[in-house]
Amino acid sequence: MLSSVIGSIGTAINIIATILCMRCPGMTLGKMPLLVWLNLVMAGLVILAVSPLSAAQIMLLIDRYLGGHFFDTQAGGSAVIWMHFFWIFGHPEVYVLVLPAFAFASEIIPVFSRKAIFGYPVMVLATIAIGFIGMSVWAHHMFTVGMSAGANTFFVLSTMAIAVPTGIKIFNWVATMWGGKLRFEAPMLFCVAFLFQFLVAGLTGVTLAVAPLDWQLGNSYYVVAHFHYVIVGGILFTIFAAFYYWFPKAIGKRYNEALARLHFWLFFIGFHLTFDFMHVPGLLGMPRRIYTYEPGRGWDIWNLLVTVGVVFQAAGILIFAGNLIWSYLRGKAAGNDPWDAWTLEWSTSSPPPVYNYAAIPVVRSRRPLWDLKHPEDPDWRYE
Amino acid sequence: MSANTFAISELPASRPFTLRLHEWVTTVDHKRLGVLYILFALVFLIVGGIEATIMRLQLVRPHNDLVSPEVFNRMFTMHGTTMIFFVAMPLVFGFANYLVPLMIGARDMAFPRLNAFSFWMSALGGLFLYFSFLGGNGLYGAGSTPDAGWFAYAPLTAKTFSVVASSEY
Amino acid sequence: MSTVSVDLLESNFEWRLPSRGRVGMYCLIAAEAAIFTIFVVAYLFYIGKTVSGPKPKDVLHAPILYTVCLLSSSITVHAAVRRLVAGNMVAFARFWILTILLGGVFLFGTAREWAHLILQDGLSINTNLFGTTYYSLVGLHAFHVTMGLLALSTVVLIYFAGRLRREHAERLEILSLYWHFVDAVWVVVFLVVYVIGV
Repeated sequence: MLSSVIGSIGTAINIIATILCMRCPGMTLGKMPLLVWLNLVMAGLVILAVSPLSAAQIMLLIDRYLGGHFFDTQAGGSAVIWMHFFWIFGHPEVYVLVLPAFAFASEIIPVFSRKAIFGYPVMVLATIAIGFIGMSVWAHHMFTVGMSAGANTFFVLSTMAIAVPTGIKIFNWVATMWGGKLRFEAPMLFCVAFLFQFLVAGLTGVTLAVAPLDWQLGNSYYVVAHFHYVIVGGILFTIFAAFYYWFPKAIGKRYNEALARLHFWLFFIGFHLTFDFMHVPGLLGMPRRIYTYEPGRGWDIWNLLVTVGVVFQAAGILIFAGNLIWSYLRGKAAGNDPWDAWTLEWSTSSPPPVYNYAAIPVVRSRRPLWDLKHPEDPDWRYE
Repeated sequence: MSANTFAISELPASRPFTLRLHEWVTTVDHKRLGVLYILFALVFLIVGGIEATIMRLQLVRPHNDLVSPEVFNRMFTMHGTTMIFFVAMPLVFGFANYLVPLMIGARDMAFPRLNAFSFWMSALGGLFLYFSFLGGNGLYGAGSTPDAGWFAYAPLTAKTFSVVASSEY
Repeated sequence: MSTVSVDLLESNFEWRLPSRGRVGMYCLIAAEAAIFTIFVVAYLFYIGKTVSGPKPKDVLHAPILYTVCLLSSSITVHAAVRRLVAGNMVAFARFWILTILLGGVFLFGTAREWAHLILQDGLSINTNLFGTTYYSLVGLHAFHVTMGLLALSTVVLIYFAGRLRREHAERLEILSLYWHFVDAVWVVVFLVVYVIGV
């Protein structure tokens, strides 16, 4: 784990240095694609939040192998302090995972709505706000530990506060789609599902942010349902979208659209079967991490339905894997710009050459390819 | 003459497998490293999914006995750790590696060799953790993988309560 | 093919971005600062909570001399880089080696203090909570000093191999940023361990 943490920090340093030091001429920070902005903030969070994890792991190693007493209450140490250190990493970690998901949505939704992203500056500010506030909410994982009322209240408020910039982003994505010419190929299907699912996930999160509710629901299957809704329904769906969107660019071949849509529907059904219904046993009191349970508590039918959903999800994933392999071997050539998109990568060949760009491009707006394709109406007139 | 000085499309179509493997293992090209991260993540997605499936099958009805409590504990610990650290993070880094230089008009990342080093460190971490399946009482007892939950709360993970040596893997 | 919007490049278009070595080093320093912060927070939180064994005020003596050595090494490393920028290779080497020596004296001082604590006072990392927090915090810092010294020594080797040039000054300045960071951490550790914690 320490090994992979070192890898993560190295990658984050790389990402920040690349974005700050290697942009092509004309690409000021205000003209970068949103994906780049979101990855910049993500890398910053990795640097500030993953390092505490390695510190905590070193402390655990010292306790376990050198007889240390960091978490040894008999010697004056504190087990709660592990929780603090872990969650100081753990909560920003989920923002590390979700910001790139937002990045994919922010690139794909405009292209499939044939409209530029609504409110670029606000999206950037909201991202930075999420980065900052996300570092101050960690103890909402510890409401049941017995912190003071003041501490609990602070974390309740900060957790609710983070819903604001996140909600702004959802609003902006929807506003991007509004009035656009929507195309529902596989990447867009996954992104639309993401919008709806992430919203629900955020709402269950806000219910958990209310400390007294968390005292009842904490460590139950309601929490499990909530975070899987975010991670699977939010993040994994956009990752599938990103796969389908950039597969033609990276591999140079088109994937099979029919199989992709089958993947989407199977996985969508399975996801909702599993994780919608998972909220119910949680509300009925089923705790996490138990290997079995008594019959007659009202949990049985829900657990059954949840398990059935797994079958659909597994089928979806198999089709996804099959589609990728089949398309890699037999897919039709994709061309440089199959989606008629606007960011720089679509100007290279598919796949791009090793050196990416024979001549470093010069850009003048947020959508350089739009400017190229529409010289009579370039973006830089309006930005 | 090193194969890396040509664009990929200019290389001869059939190169020996060992040469191709060597290119992939020693690459510092952000696109290839991105693909490596993503393939690594997809493999662990399947593994983490199997761990989830085992848990769900155990919970499909009350008083089920598909797996023992010890194995179940190892399953939920490994499922969480795997999905966060060996699926989601590599996917995130993989896509970032692939896309960021292309989208800013750059030829590679700022530190290509650090990039390669970071990938292999992450891969090593995955290997270390999964190596723990081979310890303890063998594979059907899920080895000596960690069993204290992915957030590894003390004091359960302290030496007194968790003799198994894998909690900090 | 792969060019975009070339028409608008005016000849006085200035496009300056920060140097990647500098940005990379600042990021590394931020990550390390986050790690140290956690250890410092643990130390502060645990002050006065140790249940048994030797207590800080019984066994700690502020290492003033060694601290002065380490902090002066920041001055000497800065002087060394300035000399290199000016092209004065010999003076550069003198100051750089002096930096390494001062750092080495600091490490020697730490080793001496630890030997005394372990052998005379019976305090080691597993003795009590104070031992755990003290050795881990001071030890983590000493580890970073060691890494820094290794890097500085590598530069000396390059110098003596005749491969060091004036153009390397920028890179050496970035390396010296790491050394300044290590010194700054010591200021904090010193305050926390020998002033606040006693």
